[in-house]
Amino acid sequence: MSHLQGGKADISLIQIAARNNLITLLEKCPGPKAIVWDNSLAGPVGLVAQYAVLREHAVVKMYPLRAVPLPETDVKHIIFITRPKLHLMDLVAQNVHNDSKARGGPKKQYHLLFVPRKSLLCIKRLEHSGMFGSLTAIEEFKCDFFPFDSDLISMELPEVYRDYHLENDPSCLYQIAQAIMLLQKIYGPIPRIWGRGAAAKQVWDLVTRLQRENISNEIKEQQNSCIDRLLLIDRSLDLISPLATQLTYEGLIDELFGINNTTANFPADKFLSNEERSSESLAEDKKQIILNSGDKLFSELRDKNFNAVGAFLSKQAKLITSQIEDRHDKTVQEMKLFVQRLPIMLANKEAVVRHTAIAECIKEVTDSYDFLDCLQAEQEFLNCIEVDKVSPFIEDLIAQKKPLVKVLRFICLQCIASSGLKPKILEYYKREIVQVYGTQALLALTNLEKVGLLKVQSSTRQYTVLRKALRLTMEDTSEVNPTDISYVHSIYAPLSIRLTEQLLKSGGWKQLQDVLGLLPGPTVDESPLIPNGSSDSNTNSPSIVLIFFIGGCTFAEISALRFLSQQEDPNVEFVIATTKLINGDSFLKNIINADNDK
Amino acid sequence: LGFVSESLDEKKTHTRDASLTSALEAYKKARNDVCASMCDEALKLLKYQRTLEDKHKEGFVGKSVHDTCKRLLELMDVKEAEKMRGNFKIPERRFWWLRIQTLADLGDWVELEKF
Repeated sequence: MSHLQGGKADISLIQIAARNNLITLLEKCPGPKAIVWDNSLAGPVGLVAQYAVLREHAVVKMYPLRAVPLPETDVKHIIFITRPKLHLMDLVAQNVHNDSKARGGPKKQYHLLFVPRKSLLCIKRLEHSGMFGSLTAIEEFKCDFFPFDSDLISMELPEVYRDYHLENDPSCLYQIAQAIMLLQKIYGPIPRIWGRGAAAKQVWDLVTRLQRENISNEIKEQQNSCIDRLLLIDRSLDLISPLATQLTYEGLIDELFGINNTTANFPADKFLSNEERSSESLAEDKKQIILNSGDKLFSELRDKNFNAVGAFLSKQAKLITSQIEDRHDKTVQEMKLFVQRLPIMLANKEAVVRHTAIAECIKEVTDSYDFLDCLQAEQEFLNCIEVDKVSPFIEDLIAQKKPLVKVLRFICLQCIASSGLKPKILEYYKREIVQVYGTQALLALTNLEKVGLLKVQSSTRQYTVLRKALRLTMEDTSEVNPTDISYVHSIYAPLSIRLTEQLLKSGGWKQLQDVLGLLPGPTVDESPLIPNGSSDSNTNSPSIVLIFFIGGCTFAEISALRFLSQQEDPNVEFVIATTKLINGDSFLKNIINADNDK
Repeated sequence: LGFVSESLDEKKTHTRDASLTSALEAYKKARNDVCASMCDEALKLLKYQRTLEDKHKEGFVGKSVHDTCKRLLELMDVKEAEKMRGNFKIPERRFWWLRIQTLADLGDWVELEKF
């Protein structure tokens, strides 16, 4: 059983579907082949089909798609796998052009696979470049979701929030709608849909349209639905949660080291024992670790507040030592059992060592004054302390020229907490930032204003009201034995998840009228007619709720959802779908400087 | 109107002044006073940096106000830096941060003692 299975909705089905699709496409080109990857895809596709699988299908070489000519190879087929983006088309054309001209040898065939769909614009671009004719085939590798874990899938589209809110480009929403269609195809039609926010509404409208088109040409199978509810959350509902520092184990790993495709890189020297350190040269200074629920210890640790991790690890360590020590005075029978269990125990031991090393890496940072000061400042903002003034803390950050993203993260947070900054304060910050970071920073600030992360104070105090109504900040929550989702940020409960919690408890948007007025965008609340009314299955088993974050979600939010599903009251199991896993830094970076790749 | 200011980030040093001026005009038309005044300041900075380049024989253009001032302090040109503070309204707090930082970097403990 892989780490993807285990939930009621089996995520490995998505993996299998995508993998089969890829294999069929590969088999269309018999003989040895090379794949040229769009860089943003090579990692995620690895989650669908490992290199070993590709090799089985005669993939002998893999290259990244770059502006340099391809290295010499004697393969028959060259397959480009890319996102449908215009600038990538130019690279493909350039590559094909160089490669086909360079050698007179056996003629190669060039193929292009779009992930997940063809784009007319891209094809036109290829035609203009004159290379369209050189491509033997253009196909679609229909991989909407990349499976991350038994309850988590991601589309790996980092630009969704930016595209929709900054560039006003809704084409990503169509892709999301297509993705939801795919989910319904695998898991059956979803009987009840909730959603909030402009993007959520638009996605759902698109889904209904697609469904109507679909019914005409293929009759829906009378399939029992596996997912009971769908909740679409537009990221613009809750911009606070991505800005707040995540304090769960997994969240902190992401904040400090970055998790990509369930893999994170750590400084290697922490992971070597003393002998290894002297013998092994510094060939590799990064240690790569895969983080998913396949690692049992990690699946227990990932959602804990970091303050609870140390104690848990030392308890595990003691347990294992006692297990291994406990081999004296035994009968032959018991000894046999012990030996059988030994490999498992040793593997466990290794896992404990590994995670202790990771925890040490984290602790080094979290114990520093810098980190603690930042956290304190952040929590003061969240508690609405002195949000109406220029913060001396931010002033100091700017004066020391700390990374621009860090500074902007604080300013945006203050802005949200005070429901918009006073014009004078905003102007002051702007001037300071431009003086220190140069005129380019002005563009960053303009972008943030466009997406609503920075704004001038209006008359309504949304945050103040929401904080009270939804109990967003909690004073006394235990980090070690949490009783409330606010443990993921130590004091702050992610707005998006609190909303979900309330929604599930009250069973509809109607009961939440008083807070809803303060959140942007329209509401979606529909229960499409299901041909056979099998939606009310037995009520004892938990209902499956698919939460779809349009514009990305954080690990802390996921942890909070997992925490909720362990509670008895809303008897639910969550499947989380997102367009991308984000944290404050990656979220803001995407908004402020993605201009480079145009 | 943001795209007007984008032009100034392209690495075309020759058209910098021109595009900044047009950005300034555009911001003025849009009544975006804050941005307009910033463009104005950027122009002023550019001119000032050119005079500095003559004086110190090294590149200043492209640096922010903060970095320019820092470089001056590193070059021990405190007088020019003080002048900048006045001209560009660098807040007290930030200026002293900068002063202390550069002195510490230079290892000038004697000067640092005087605070």
